[in-house]
Amino acid sequence: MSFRKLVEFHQPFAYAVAFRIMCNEFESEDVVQEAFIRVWKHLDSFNPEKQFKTWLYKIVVNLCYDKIRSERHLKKTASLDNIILNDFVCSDIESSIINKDLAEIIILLTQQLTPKQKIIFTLAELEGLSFDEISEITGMTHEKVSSNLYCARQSIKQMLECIENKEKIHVR
Amino acid sequence: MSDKFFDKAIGRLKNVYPAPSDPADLTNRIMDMIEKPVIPDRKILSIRISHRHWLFVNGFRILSTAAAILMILFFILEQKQMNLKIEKLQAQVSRQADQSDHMNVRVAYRYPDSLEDQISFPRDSVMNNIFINRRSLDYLIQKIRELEEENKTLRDRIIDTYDLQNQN
Repeated sequence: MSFRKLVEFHQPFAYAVAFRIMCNEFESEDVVQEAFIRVWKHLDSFNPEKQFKTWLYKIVVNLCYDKIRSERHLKKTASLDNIILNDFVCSDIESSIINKDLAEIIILLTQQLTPKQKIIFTLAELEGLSFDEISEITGMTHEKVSSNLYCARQSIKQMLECIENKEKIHVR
Repeated sequence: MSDKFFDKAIGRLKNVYPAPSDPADLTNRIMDMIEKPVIPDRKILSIRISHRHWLFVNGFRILSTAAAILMILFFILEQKQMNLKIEKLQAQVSRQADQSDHMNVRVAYRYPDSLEDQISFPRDSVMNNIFINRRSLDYLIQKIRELEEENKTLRDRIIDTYDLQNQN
């Protein structure tokens, strides 16, 4: 199997992970590109007994983590008020979930989390990985993964609650 | 807010699968980067450019770290040995002092035996006692006797001379 085929096969998944963490198309493409170059460079250090997907996850997540950390202080967090008013104008909040924009809103909401919380939330909730897999990818203990995930969930729940309350006021 | 709403929102979010705008283009770009890697400008290894450049050379870093560790170890070892020697000497000196105090013996400066033809006195004028070895003492007595003898002869001569004068 040539490397091109490997790239074609794993690229969508790598991009999805990167996009869910980075929330930016160009940055996600950069991360994917960099990740595959790293794979190519360090292919000899890959352990064939382990899953290639987990290894790729690790590379992508590490690259995303480095990018988020370096850009965190420069990036202005998205204004919640604008998101709420622009996207939640319909009366039935549950019906508005159907559209794709909600995905972007939730991703924007995760920007309030710390880089670690964001990554763990993405891996656990959106990618559906187990604690063992997350521990292997991030190098954290089960307890740390669990506590970070709990904090991330609470934070996102609070955000969603805030949106719901504002929406109710808007409808009245 | 109920957990049901949260689960529903996350469930919907899971179903939205982000994809690149042009997957083929992204693949091509990745393959181009791999096939034609960007060669960075070759850096000349010179201490003049920046001393930090040397830190990029792994071998140099390992070597200098090893040298630093060895030097520190050597310094510690040397210091330990010096301390041991000092302690040893200190113990020796204090033992000697204890012994001489106990026996009530004064340790005197002993002149070397080779100084037979000269008698040296201690420079310390406060000191009332002088110490001299047996050979030097014998030598001194012999010289005094010789001098005495010489003086005696000289006195006899003088007396003789005076007597002669008296006679004249």
